[in-house]
Amino acid sequence: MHEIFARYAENRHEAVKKWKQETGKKVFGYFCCLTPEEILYAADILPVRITGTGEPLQQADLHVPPNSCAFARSCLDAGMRGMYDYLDGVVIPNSCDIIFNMEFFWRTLVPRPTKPAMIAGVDIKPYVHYINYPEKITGREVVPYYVEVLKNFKQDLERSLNRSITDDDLARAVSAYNQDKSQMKRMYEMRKSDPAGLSGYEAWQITYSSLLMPKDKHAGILKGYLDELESNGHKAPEGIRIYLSGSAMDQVNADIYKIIEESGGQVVSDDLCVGTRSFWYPLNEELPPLEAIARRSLGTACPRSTVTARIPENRWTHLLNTAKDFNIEGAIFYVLKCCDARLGEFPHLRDKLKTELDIPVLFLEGDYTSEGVEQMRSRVEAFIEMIEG
Amino acid sequence: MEEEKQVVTKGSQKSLEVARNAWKFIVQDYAEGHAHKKAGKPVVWSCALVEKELYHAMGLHPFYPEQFAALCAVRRKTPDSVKEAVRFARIAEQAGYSSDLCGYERVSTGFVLNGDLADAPLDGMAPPDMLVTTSSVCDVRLKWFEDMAQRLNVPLFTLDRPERRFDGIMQYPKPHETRYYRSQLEDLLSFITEITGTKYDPDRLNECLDWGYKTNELRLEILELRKAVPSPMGCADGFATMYPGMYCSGTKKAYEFYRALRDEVRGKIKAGKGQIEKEKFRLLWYGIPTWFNMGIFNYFEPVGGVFAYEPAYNPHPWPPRNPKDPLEEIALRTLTIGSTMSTTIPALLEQCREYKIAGGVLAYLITCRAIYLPSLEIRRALEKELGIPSVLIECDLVDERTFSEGQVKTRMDAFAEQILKKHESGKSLNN
Repeated sequence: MHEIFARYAENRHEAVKKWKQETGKKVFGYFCCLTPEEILYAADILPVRITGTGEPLQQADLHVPPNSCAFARSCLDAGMRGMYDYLDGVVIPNSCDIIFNMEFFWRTLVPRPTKPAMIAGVDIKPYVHYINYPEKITGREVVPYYVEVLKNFKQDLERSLNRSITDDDLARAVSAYNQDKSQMKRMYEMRKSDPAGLSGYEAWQITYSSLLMPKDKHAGILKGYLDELESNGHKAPEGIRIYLSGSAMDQVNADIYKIIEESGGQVVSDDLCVGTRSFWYPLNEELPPLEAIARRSLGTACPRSTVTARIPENRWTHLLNTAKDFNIEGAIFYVLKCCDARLGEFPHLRDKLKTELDIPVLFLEGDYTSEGVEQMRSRVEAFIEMIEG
Repeated sequence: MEEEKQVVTKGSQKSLEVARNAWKFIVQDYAEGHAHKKAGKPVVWSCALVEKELYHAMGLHPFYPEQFAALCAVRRKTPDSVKEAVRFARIAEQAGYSSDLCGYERVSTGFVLNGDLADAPLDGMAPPDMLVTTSSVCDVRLKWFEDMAQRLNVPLFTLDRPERRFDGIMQYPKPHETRYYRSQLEDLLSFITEITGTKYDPDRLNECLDWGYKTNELRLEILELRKAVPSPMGCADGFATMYPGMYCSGTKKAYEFYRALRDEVRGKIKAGKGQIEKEKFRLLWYGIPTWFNMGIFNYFEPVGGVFAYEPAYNPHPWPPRNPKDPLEEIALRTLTIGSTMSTTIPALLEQCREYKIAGGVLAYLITCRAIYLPSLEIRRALEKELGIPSVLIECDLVDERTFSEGQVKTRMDAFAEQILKKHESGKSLNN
């Protein structure tokens, strides 16, 4: 594995702080892959995905009740403990019930580095920015509506930063993001071969680091690394080809990749926000950049979102698109407890996989702890043995 | 096994005649829905926060899976069988739906999976010609209705209400938000026309909106009357009488129902009568009730405690009628209210002051993320801002298997003792 991807994946906070120190630039945290992070990049800000720790909560449990997403609670706890004290701002979209509420929790509970700039009761330099992301991502008026939401966000950002974000800045961001997306797509293409061109865990490290590094830098390093792998004919260990679907796949949950590999499987594709959904949909460089960003963000097949179809099947379509040609032999759904969107759609997706693709499915309910992931080992082993026959 | 657990639950004693007869209204409405379907007319399954006047204007009879699930929480197939909500929830769980999912969702999904839609209380919900849901309140109702559409092979329409963030209780939306929501209302009308052939008639919608508006005004008047001391109408009455307003807005019968209720509440105030003989302290119920155990609302009465106010299902002031552009009016009405904690917590504090609340019972609904997530912050705000103690009652909305009667009673007894001590020490209980 390339050293830099591993460094970001294994010690994200230190890696980002080092980058900040070296460049003197600003860093913003964000939740969810549908966040229009391209606008931050255009403002010369490094957007980094906020994740948790998997450790017992120290502070957030006094504020967020236990029967809710352990990942989101852990993210907040990390914020309250000062682990994100290097952030200059936070962007929170309306992506699910708990992340929506994170806007309130983060704003009221996490210490901010600068004091609010209050004018007539309004903080003109907010630390936490809210993106009113639509829940129905198609429809005749959704793009103009969402472009307007993004315009407002851009204006808030400009006021906070005391700088303008021009169309040229946005176009530069769109181009950088597309370059990285195309390298990420190339990396996934390499996993279609049998054995895969690189392992599931390696692919996860590369994907995770893409959410913590500037996209131009990530794209450049990734291109060099993939060139090298191709030229030396690198292959991942052989294994039952697994499709992985699930909740936020950060450094805590990613242990599931290792367990799958140690059990004789190999993850070759996925339906994950730290996975295909973070790069699958390119930005249209022919469009005005803000509209291109809006359409990319709306194109993200988040389990929470719905579409205008009479019988919506957008989630099945995304699953099909990211599973076909990968010669999948089994699918594992690793879903965090209380993730309503994931839990609600699981029976339907399981039935479709079985009836339409004849693919066996294993369901694992996680609690966002390393111990909890480890406890799944025997079930993963049994599942892979069953497929091996 | 959890399934074997026997739970002792009971219905509530209501203090108002209209509330005691509200069940008849529901039975009649279900019967009308079934007759409507039998006559070949279209049926929709929908959610509380969709603007019901649209259905009545377009000739649809609506059924509401969430309300149906609540109804199943109080009904048994035979005197010895489990509650219907438990029967249906089990069917869903056996099909792979997690027990962490919303009780409403599990019960109605089990009802769909059961196959025979008439095998249910009040002959179930009539088979739908369409489903209409909304993004308001929670994510669940998006995924749940998608899933039902897939299982029933019935077309679905989703109204996406922008989740606006602002400080304060109400705020008019921005133009792009109104445009977006209004466009979806237009699309919903086209969707209904495509399926039923019924064309949109603005005059008919205005007629329904007139009834809806007048009904809402009555409900607001009742809320105002409920501030009286002693409390003339409690939470048991409030929850029992929410059906016509939540689900039949836009009809004359809903208006007449609340007119009778308003008159009865007025009469009680005039006569100086409260819910109980000697009211000592007044309580808030936060959240959706434990539908399977409405008797909880009478629990504190022997020691002088009454539930005086519940924020769930209550109306908010609507923008004025705009007969020239009823869709714009509906969009404004729906978008004006906020749903973040920045809105709901200050509103709740204000209501506690107005209703002279001495303590809060917070329904800690473990499967209802929308109600559950703010509960610890609400508890903290009540204590910090108003000095009001509160108690958390942990369970599901409709699935009584999650209810631990002993634990709940112990907590409620300690809570009552805390309030009564304050009362005996002569400190003011009312905020």
